Amino acid sequence: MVDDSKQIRVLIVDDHEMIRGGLRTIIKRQGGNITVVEEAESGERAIELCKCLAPDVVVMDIKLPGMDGIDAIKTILALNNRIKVLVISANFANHVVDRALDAGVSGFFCKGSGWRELGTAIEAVYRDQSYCSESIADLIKERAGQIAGDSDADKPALLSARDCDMIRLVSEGLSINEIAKVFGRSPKTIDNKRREIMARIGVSSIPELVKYALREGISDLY
Amino acid sequence: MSIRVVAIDDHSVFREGLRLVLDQYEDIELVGEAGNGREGIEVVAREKPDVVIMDVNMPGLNGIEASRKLLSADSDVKILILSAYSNRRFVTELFRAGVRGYILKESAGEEVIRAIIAVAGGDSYICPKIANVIIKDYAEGGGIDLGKTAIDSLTIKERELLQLLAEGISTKEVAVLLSVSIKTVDARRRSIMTKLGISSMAKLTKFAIREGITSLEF
Repeated sequence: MVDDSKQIRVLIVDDHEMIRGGLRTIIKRQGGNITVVEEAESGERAIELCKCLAPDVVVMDIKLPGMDGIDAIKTILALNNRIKVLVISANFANHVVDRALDAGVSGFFCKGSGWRELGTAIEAVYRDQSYCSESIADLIKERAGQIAGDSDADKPALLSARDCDMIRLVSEGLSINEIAKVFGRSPKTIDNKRREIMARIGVSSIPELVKYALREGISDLY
Repeated sequence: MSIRVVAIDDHSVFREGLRLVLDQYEDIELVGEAGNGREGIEVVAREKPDVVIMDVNMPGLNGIEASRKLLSADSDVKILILSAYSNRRFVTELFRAGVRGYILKESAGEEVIRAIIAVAGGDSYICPKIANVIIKDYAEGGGIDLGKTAIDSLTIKERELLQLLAEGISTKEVAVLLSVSIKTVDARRRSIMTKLGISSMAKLTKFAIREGITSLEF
Protein backbone atom coordinates (compact mmCIF):
# COMPACT_ATOMS: atom_id res chain seq x y z
CA MET A 1 0.00 0.00 0.00
CA VAL A 2 1.24 3.45 -0.89
CA ASP A 3 0.47 6.14 1.65
CA ASP A 4 0.03 9.48 -0.14
CA SER A 5 0.94 11.61 2.86
CA LYS A 6 4.17 9.76 3.44
CA GLN A 7 7.45 11.43 2.50
CA ILE A 8 9.37 9.74 -0.29
CA ARG A 9 12.91 9.39 1.06
CA VAL A 10 15.55 9.77 -1.62
CA LEU A 11 19.27 8.95 -1.72
CA ILE A 12 21.33 10.80 -4.35
CA VAL A 13 24.39 9.04 -5.78
CA ASP A 14 26.86 10.97 -7.96
CA ASP A 15 30.61 11.44 -7.71
CA HIS A 16 30.48 15.21 -8.32
CA GLU A 17 29.65 17.40 -5.34
CA MET A 18 28.16 20.09 -7.54
CA ILE A 19 25.91 17.67 -9.41
CA ARG A 20 24.66 16.32 -6.08
CA GLY A 21 23.97 19.88 -4.96
CA GLY A 22 22.14 20.59 -8.20
CA LEU A 23 20.00 17.47 -7.87
CA ARG A 24 19.22 18.36 -4.27
CA THR A 25 18.10 21.86 -5.29
CA ILE A 26 16.00 20.60 -8.19
CA ILE A 27 14.29 17.97 -6.04
CA LYS A 28 13.64 20.50 -3.29
CA ARG A 29 12.17 22.94 -5.80
CA GLN A 30 9.67 20.35 -7.01
CA GLY A 31 8.19 20.53 -3.54
CA GLY A 32 5.63 17.87 -2.78
CA ASN A 33 6.48 14.96 -0.60
CA ILE A 34 9.99 14.15 -1.74
CA THR A 35 12.89 14.52 0.71
CA VAL A 36 16.59 13.96 0.04
CA VAL A 37 17.82 12.04 3.08
CA GLU A 38 21.47 11.61 2.13
CA GLU A 39 24.04 11.86 -0.65
CA ALA A 40 26.71 9.36 -1.67
CA GLU A 41 29.75 9.91 -3.88
CA SER A 42 30.44 6.25 -4.71
CA GLY A 43 28.75 2.89 -5.14
CA GLU A 44 30.38 1.61 -1.95
CA ARG A 45 29.02 4.53 0.08
CA ALA A 46 25.58 4.14 -1.54
CA ILE A 47 25.40 0.51 -0.40
CA GLU A 48 26.40 1.49 3.14
CA LEU A 49 23.74 4.21 3.27
CA CYS A 50 21.07 1.94 1.84
CA LYS A 51 21.83 -0.52 4.65
CA CYS A 52 21.31 1.99 7.44
CA LEU A 53 18.79 4.41 5.93
CA ALA A 54 16.70 2.17 3.65
CA PRO A 55 15.65 5.02 1.33
CA ASP A 56 12.56 4.60 -0.84
CA VAL A 57 14.26 5.71 -4.03
CA VAL A 58 17.91 5.85 -5.09
CA VAL A 59 18.60 8.46 -7.79
CA MET A 60 21.90 7.41 -9.28
CA ASP A 61 24.40 8.15 -12.00
CA ILE A 62 25.93 4.83 -13.04
CA LYS A 63 29.23 6.27 -14.16
CA LEU A 64 31.12 6.25 -10.88
CA PRO A 65 34.77 5.91 -9.97
CA GLY A 66 35.69 2.71 -8.16
CA MET A 67 32.88 0.20 -7.92
CA ASP A 68 30.80 -0.12 -11.08
CA GLY A 69 27.40 1.59 -10.72
CA ILE A 70 25.44 -1.41 -11.99
CA ASP A 71 27.19 -3.75 -9.56
CA ALA A 72 26.29 -1.33 -6.78
CA ILE A 73 22.63 -1.42 -7.85
CA LYS A 74 22.64 -5.22 -7.83
CA THR A 75 24.05 -5.26 -4.31
CA ILE A 76 21.54 -2.65 -3.10
CA LEU A 77 18.57 -4.55 -4.51
CA ALA A 78 19.85 -7.84 -3.11
CA LEU A 79 20.03 -6.22 0.33
CA ASN A 80 16.58 -4.64 0.13
CA ASN A 81 14.33 -5.24 -2.82
CA ARG A 82 11.82 -2.61 -1.71
CA ILE A 83 14.27 0.11 -2.73
CA LYS A 84 13.57 1.55 -6.19
CA VAL A 85 16.42 2.73 -8.40
CA LEU A 86 16.14 5.58 -10.91
CA VAL A 87 19.20 5.79 -13.15
CA ILE A 88 20.29 9.16 -14.53
CA SER A 89 22.72 9.54 -17.39
CA ALA A 90 23.65 11.85 -20.22
CA ASN A 91 23.41 9.11 -22.79
CA PHE A 92 22.11 5.61 -22.67
CA ALA A 93 23.85 3.09 -24.91
CA ASN A 94 22.15 -0.25 -25.58
CA HIS A 95 24.57 -2.26 -23.48
CA VAL A 96 24.14 0.09 -20.50
CA VAL A 97 20.36 -0.18 -20.71
CA ASP A 98 20.56 -3.98 -20.96
CA ARG A 99 22.76 -4.28 -17.89
CA ALA A 100 20.66 -1.82 -15.91
CA LEU A 101 17.39 -3.60 -16.75
CA ASP A 102 19.01 -6.87 -15.87
CA ALA A 103 20.08 -5.45 -12.51
CA GLY A 104 16.47 -4.49 -11.80
CA VAL A 105 16.34 -0.70 -12.07
CA SER A 106 12.87 0.87 -12.17
CA GLY A 107 13.51 3.97 -14.22
CA PHE A 108 15.77 5.81 -16.63
CA PHE A 109 16.09 9.57 -16.52
CA CYS A 110 17.93 11.29 -19.34
CA LYS A 111 20.04 14.27 -18.23
CA GLY A 112 19.04 16.13 -21.35
CA SER A 113 15.34 16.02 -20.42
CA GLY A 114 13.56 18.77 -18.58
CA TRP A 115 14.46 18.54 -14.93
CA ARG A 116 10.92 19.42 -13.98
CA GLU A 117 10.14 15.80 -14.82
CA LEU A 118 12.47 14.49 -12.13
CA GLY A 119 9.80 14.65 -9.40
CA THR A 120 7.36 12.77 -11.63
CA ALA A 121 10.00 10.13 -12.28
CA ILE A 122 10.78 9.69 -8.57
CA GLU A 123 7.09 9.41 -7.70
CA ALA A 124 6.47 6.91 -10.49
CA VAL A 125 9.20 4.50 -9.43
CA TYR A 126 8.17 4.94 -5.78
CA ARG A 127 4.68 3.80 -6.78
CA ASP A 128 6.15 0.70 -8.30
CA GLN A 129 5.70 1.95 -11.83
CA SER A 130 8.51 2.11 -14.31
CA TYR A 131 9.65 5.40 -15.78
CA CYS A 132 11.75 6.51 -18.68
CA SER A 133 12.38 9.88 -20.27
CA GLU A 134 10.53 10.43 -23.52
CA SER A 135 13.71 10.81 -25.56
CA ILE A 136 14.79 7.25 -24.78
CA ALA A 137 11.37 5.58 -24.44
CA ASP A 138 11.62 3.62 -27.69
CA LEU A 139 15.11 2.40 -26.93
CA ILE A 140 14.13 1.23 -23.44
CA LYS A 141 10.97 -0.51 -24.65
CA GLU A 142 12.92 -2.33 -27.32
CA ARG A 143 15.63 -3.45 -24.92
CA ALA A 144 13.13 -4.32 -22.17
CA GLY A 145 11.28 -6.53 -24.66
CA GLN A 146 14.48 -8.33 -25.47
CA ILE A 147 15.42 -8.82 -21.83
CA ALA A 148 11.98 -9.88 -20.59
CA GLY A 149 10.98 -12.05 -23.54
CA ASP A 150 11.54 -15.79 -23.14
CA SER A 151 11.66 -16.32 -26.84
CA ASP A 152 14.16 -13.74 -27.93
CA ALA A 153 14.62 -15.56 -31.18
CA ASP A 154 11.05 -14.75 -32.24
CA LYS A 155 11.56 -11.05 -31.88
CA PRO A 156 13.30 -9.03 -34.55
CA ALA A 157 16.41 -7.41 -33.10
CA LEU A 158 16.61 -3.65 -33.43
CA LEU A 159 19.37 -4.08 -36.00
CA SER A 160 20.38 -7.10 -38.02
CA ALA A 161 24.03 -7.90 -38.69
CA ARG A 162 23.53 -6.57 -42.22
CA ASP A 163 22.06 -3.31 -40.85
CA CYS A 164 25.15 -2.94 -38.68
CA ASP A 165 27.38 -3.52 -41.71
CA MET A 166 25.54 -0.77 -43.51
CA ILE A 167 25.92 1.63 -40.56
CA ARG A 168 29.62 0.78 -40.33
CA LEU A 169 30.25 1.48 -44.01
CA VAL A 170 28.36 4.78 -43.91
CA SER A 171 30.30 5.72 -40.77
CA GLU A 172 33.56 5.00 -42.54
CA GLY A 173 32.66 7.58 -45.13
CA LEU A 174 31.75 5.32 -48.05
CA SER A 175 29.37 6.82 -50.59
CA ILE A 176 26.04 5.22 -51.45
CA ASN A 177 27.50 4.05 -54.77
CA GLU A 178 30.45 2.40 -53.04
CA ILE A 179 28.19 0.67 -50.51
CA ALA A 180 25.92 -0.48 -53.32
CA LYS A 181 28.91 -2.22 -54.91
CA VAL A 182 29.86 -3.90 -51.63
CA PHE A 183 26.36 -5.30 -51.19
CA GLY A 184 25.80 -5.98 -54.88
CA ARG A 185 22.58 -3.93 -54.89
CA SER A 186 21.42 -0.81 -56.66
CA PRO A 187 22.30 2.59 -55.15
CA LYS A 188 18.59 3.34 -54.88
CA THR A 189 17.93 0.23 -52.79
CA ILE A 190 20.89 1.06 -50.55
CA ASP A 191 19.77 4.66 -50.12
CA ASN A 192 16.27 3.58 -49.13
CA LYS A 193 17.67 1.03 -46.71
CA ARG A 194 19.91 3.67 -45.14
CA ARG A 195 16.97 6.02 -44.65
CA GLU A 196 14.89 3.23 -43.17
CA ILE A 197 17.65 2.31 -40.67
CA MET A 198 18.16 5.95 -39.69
CA ALA A 199 14.44 6.36 -39.04
CA ARG A 200 14.42 3.17 -36.96
CA ILE A 201 17.25 4.26 -34.65
CA GLY A 202 15.88 7.80 -34.52
CA VAL A 203 18.63 9.82 -36.18
CA SER A 204 18.12 12.34 -38.94
CA SER A 205 21.62 13.14 -40.18
CA ILE A 206 24.89 11.42 -41.05
CA PRO A 207 26.77 12.98 -38.09
CA GLU A 208 24.13 11.62 -35.71
CA LEU A 209 24.37 8.20 -37.38
CA VAL A 210 28.17 8.24 -36.95
CA LYS A 211 27.84 9.14 -33.25
CA TYR A 212 25.28 6.36 -32.78
CA ALA A 213 27.72 3.90 -34.40
CA LEU A 214 30.57 5.07 -32.15
CA ARG A 215 28.49 4.85 -28.98
CA GLU A 216 27.34 1.34 -29.89
CA GLY A 217 30.81 0.18 -30.89
CA ILE A 218 29.73 -0.45 -34.48
CA SER A 219 32.44 1.85 -35.82
CA ASP A 220 35.79 3.13 -34.51
CA LEU A 221 36.84 6.72 -34.02
CA TYR A 222 40.19 6.14 -35.74
CA MET B 1 32.16 44.89 -3.68
CA SER B 2 31.17 41.40 -4.62
CA ILE B 3 32.62 39.36 -7.47
CA ARG B 4 30.10 39.08 -10.31
CA VAL B 5 30.10 35.71 -12.07
CA VAL B 6 28.49 34.32 -15.25
CA ALA B 7 28.26 30.52 -15.63
CA ILE B 8 28.21 28.89 -19.08
CA ASP B 9 27.43 25.17 -18.98
CA ASP B 10 24.97 23.02 -20.91
CA HIS B 11 23.94 20.94 -17.89
CA SER B 12 21.33 22.82 -15.91
CA VAL B 13 21.75 20.50 -12.95
CA PHE B 14 25.40 21.50 -12.77
CA ARG B 15 24.52 25.19 -12.90
CA GLU B 16 22.07 24.61 -10.04
CA GLY B 17 24.80 22.94 -8.02
CA LEU B 18 27.18 25.79 -8.75
CA ARG B 19 24.55 28.32 -7.69
CA LEU B 20 24.10 26.44 -4.43
CA VAL B 21 27.86 26.63 -3.78
CA LEU B 22 28.13 30.33 -4.71
CA ASP B 23 25.05 31.29 -2.68
CA GLN B 24 26.95 30.39 0.46
CA TYR B 25 29.45 33.17 -0.15
CA GLU B 26 28.26 36.73 0.24
CA ASP B 27 31.17 38.08 -1.77
CA ILE B 28 30.30 36.16 -4.93
CA GLU B 29 27.20 36.77 -6.99
CA LEU B 30 25.99 34.64 -9.91
CA VAL B 31 24.58 37.31 -12.22
CA GLY B 32 23.93 35.25 -15.35
CA GLU B 33 23.80 31.76 -16.82
CA ALA B 34 23.85 30.28 -20.31
CA GLY B 35 23.46 26.77 -21.72
CA ASN B 36 25.95 27.07 -24.59
CA GLY B 37 28.84 29.18 -25.83
CA ARG B 38 26.79 31.27 -28.25
CA GLU B 39 24.24 32.31 -25.60
CA GLY B 40 27.09 32.74 -23.15
CA ILE B 41 28.81 35.37 -25.28
CA GLU B 42 25.60 37.42 -25.27
CA VAL B 43 25.18 37.12 -21.51
CA VAL B 44 28.81 38.15 -20.93
CA ALA B 45 28.41 41.17 -23.23
CA ARG B 46 25.32 42.23 -21.29
CA GLU B 47 26.50 41.55 -17.73
CA LYS B 48 30.23 42.33 -18.03
CA PRO B 49 31.04 39.94 -15.15
CA ASP B 50 34.32 39.84 -13.22
CA VAL B 51 34.71 36.12 -13.88
CA VAL B 52 33.27 33.82 -16.57
CA ILE B 53 32.95 30.18 -15.55
CA MET B 54 33.09 28.15 -18.75
CA ASP B 55 32.43 24.49 -19.56
CA VAL B 56 34.31 22.97 -22.53
CA ASN B 57 32.02 20.33 -24.05
CA MET B 58 28.89 22.17 -25.10
CA PRO B 59 26.60 21.82 -28.11
CA GLY B 60 26.40 24.63 -30.64
CA LEU B 61 29.59 26.42 -29.69
CA ASN B 62 32.13 24.71 -27.44
CA GLY B 63 34.04 26.33 -24.60
CA ILE B 64 37.32 26.60 -26.51
CA GLU B 65 35.83 28.57 -29.39
CA ALA B 66 33.64 30.61 -27.05
CA SER B 67 36.71 31.53 -24.98
CA ARG B 68 38.60 32.53 -28.12
CA LYS B 69 35.72 34.73 -29.22
CA LEU B 70 35.33 36.40 -25.82
CA LEU B 71 39.07 37.03 -25.53
CA SER B 72 39.44 38.35 -29.06
CA ALA B 73 36.71 40.90 -28.30
CA ASP B 74 38.19 41.80 -24.91
CA SER B 75 41.51 40.35 -23.79
CA ASP B 76 40.79 41.34 -20.18
CA VAL B 77 37.87 38.94 -19.76
CA LYS B 78 38.74 36.56 -16.93
CA ILE B 79 37.73 33.04 -17.85
CA LEU B 80 37.83 30.12 -15.43
CA ILE B 81 37.35 26.74 -17.11
CA LEU B 82 35.25 24.24 -15.18
CA SER B 83 35.23 20.98 -17.14
CA ALA B 84 34.91 17.27 -16.56
CA TYR B 85 37.85 16.71 -18.93
CA SER B 86 41.55 17.25 -18.48
CA ASN B 87 43.00 16.19 -21.82
CA ARG B 88 46.19 17.85 -22.95
CA ARG B 89 44.71 19.37 -26.07
CA PHE B 90 41.95 21.18 -24.15
CA VAL B 91 44.35 22.45 -21.50
CA THR B 92 46.92 23.72 -23.98
CA GLU B 93 44.45 25.29 -26.38
CA LEU B 94 42.58 27.06 -23.61
CA PHE B 95 45.65 28.53 -21.93
CA ARG B 96 46.92 29.53 -25.35
CA ALA B 97 43.62 31.30 -25.94
CA GLY B 98 44.18 33.20 -22.69
CA VAL B 99 41.98 31.66 -20.02
CA ARG B 100 43.09 32.39 -16.44
CA GLY B 101 42.16 29.20 -14.67
CA TYR B 102 41.18 25.56 -15.14
CA ILE B 103 39.54 23.33 -12.56
CA LEU B 104 37.68 20.02 -12.84
CA LYS B 105 34.02 19.37 -12.16
CA GLU B 106 34.97 16.84 -9.53
CA SER B 107 36.38 19.74 -7.47
CA ALA B 108 34.78 20.45 -4.12
CA GLY B 109 32.79 23.65 -3.73
CA GLU B 110 35.57 25.23 -1.66
CA GLU B 111 38.04 24.86 -4.49
CA VAL B 112 35.65 26.50 -6.93
CA ILE B 113 35.42 29.46 -4.57
CA ARG B 114 39.21 29.66 -4.19
CA ALA B 115 39.61 29.60 -7.97
CA ILE B 116 37.03 32.34 -8.54
CA ILE B 117 38.66 34.60 -5.94
CA ALA B 118 42.13 34.01 -7.41
CA VAL B 119 41.06 34.68 -10.99
CA ALA B 120 39.00 37.74 -10.03
CA GLY B 121 42.07 39.11 -8.22
CA GLY B 122 44.19 38.84 -11.35
CA ASP B 123 45.94 35.58 -10.48
CA SER B 124 45.82 32.26 -12.28
CA TYR B 125 44.41 29.09 -10.78
CA ILE B 126 44.71 25.42 -11.71
CA CYS B 127 43.68 22.38 -9.72
CA PRO B 128 46.27 19.64 -9.00
CA LYS B 129 45.09 17.35 -11.81
CA ILE B 130 45.46 20.12 -14.38
CA ALA B 131 48.88 20.93 -12.92
CA ASN B 132 49.80 17.28 -13.58
CA VAL B 133 48.89 17.64 -17.24
CA ILE B 134 50.91 20.83 -17.63
CA ILE B 135 53.95 19.58 -15.73
CA LYS B 136 54.00 16.28 -17.62
CA ASP B 137 53.75 18.15 -20.89
CA TYR B 138 56.59 20.46 -19.89
CA ALA B 139 58.79 17.65 -18.56
CA GLU B 140 58.40 15.74 -21.80
CA GLY B 141 59.93 18.68 -23.55
CA GLY B 142 56.70 19.59 -25.25
CA GLY B 143 57.00 22.95 -23.55
CA ILE B 144 53.36 23.70 -24.37
CA ASP B 145 54.10 23.24 -28.06
CA LEU B 146 51.35 21.16 -29.59
CA GLY B 147 52.92 21.30 -32.99
CA LYS B 148 50.85 22.25 -36.00
CA THR B 149 48.00 19.88 -36.64
CA ALA B 150 45.32 19.85 -39.28
CA ILE B 151 42.88 21.68 -37.04
CA ASP B 152 45.24 24.68 -36.81
CA SER B 153 44.78 25.29 -40.52
CA LEU B 154 41.13 26.18 -39.93
CA THR B 155 40.00 29.72 -39.19
CA ILE B 156 37.83 30.55 -36.15
CA LYS B 157 34.78 30.76 -38.41
CA GLU B 158 35.57 27.42 -40.00
CA ARG B 159 35.92 25.73 -36.62
CA GLU B 160 32.62 27.23 -35.53
CA LEU B 161 30.94 25.80 -38.65
CA LEU B 162 32.68 22.44 -38.22
CA GLN B 163 31.06 21.99 -34.80
CA LEU B 164 27.57 22.74 -36.11
CA LEU B 165 27.98 20.42 -39.11
CA ALA B 166 29.31 17.64 -36.91
CA GLU B 167 26.22 17.98 -34.72
CA GLY B 168 23.98 17.26 -37.69
CA ILE B 169 22.59 20.79 -38.01
CA SER B 170 21.28 21.36 -41.54
CA THR B 171 22.88 23.92 -43.87
CA LYS B 172 19.73 26.03 -43.69
CA GLU B 173 19.70 26.13 -39.90
CA VAL B 174 23.43 26.83 -39.79
CA ALA B 175 22.97 29.80 -42.12
CA VAL B 176 20.34 31.22 -39.76
CA LEU B 177 22.45 30.58 -36.65
CA LEU B 178 25.55 32.23 -38.08
CA SER B 179 23.62 34.97 -39.95
CA VAL B 180 25.24 34.14 -43.31
CA SER B 181 23.86 32.89 -46.63
CA ILE B 182 23.50 29.23 -47.51
CA LYS B 183 26.05 29.83 -50.28
CA THR B 184 28.58 31.05 -47.73
CA VAL B 185 27.97 28.00 -45.55
CA ASP B 186 28.54 25.70 -48.54
CA ALA B 187 31.70 27.52 -49.58
CA ARG B 188 33.06 27.43 -46.03
CA ARG B 189 32.28 23.72 -45.72
CA ARG B 190 34.12 22.98 -48.98
CA SER B 191 37.08 24.99 -47.73
CA ILE B 192 37.16 22.99 -44.46
CA MET B 193 37.01 19.67 -46.30
CA THR B 194 39.73 20.69 -48.76
CA LYS B 195 42.04 21.90 -45.99
CA LEU B 196 41.55 18.71 -44.00
CA GLY B 197 41.62 16.42 -47.02
CA ILE B 198 38.33 14.88 -45.93
CA SER B 199 35.67 14.01 -48.47
CA SER B 200 32.70 12.72 -46.47
CA MET B 201 30.44 14.01 -43.71
CA ALA B 202 31.05 10.81 -41.74
CA LYS B 203 34.82 11.32 -41.68
CA LEU B 204 34.40 15.00 -40.90
CA THR B 205 32.25 14.07 -37.90
CA LYS B 206 34.87 11.64 -36.59
CA PHE B 207 37.59 14.25 -37.04
CA ALA B 208 35.56 16.79 -35.04
CA ILE B 209 35.04 14.28 -32.22
CA ARG B 210 38.74 13.35 -32.13
CA GLU B 211 39.67 17.02 -31.89
CA GLY B 212 37.17 17.69 -29.10
CA ILE B 213 35.17 20.10 -31.28
CA THR B 214 32.01 18.13 -30.64
CA SER B 215 31.17 15.27 -28.32
CA LEU B 216 29.43 11.90 -28.55
CA GLU B 217 26.88 13.26 -26.12
CA PHE B 218 25.20 15.55 -28.59
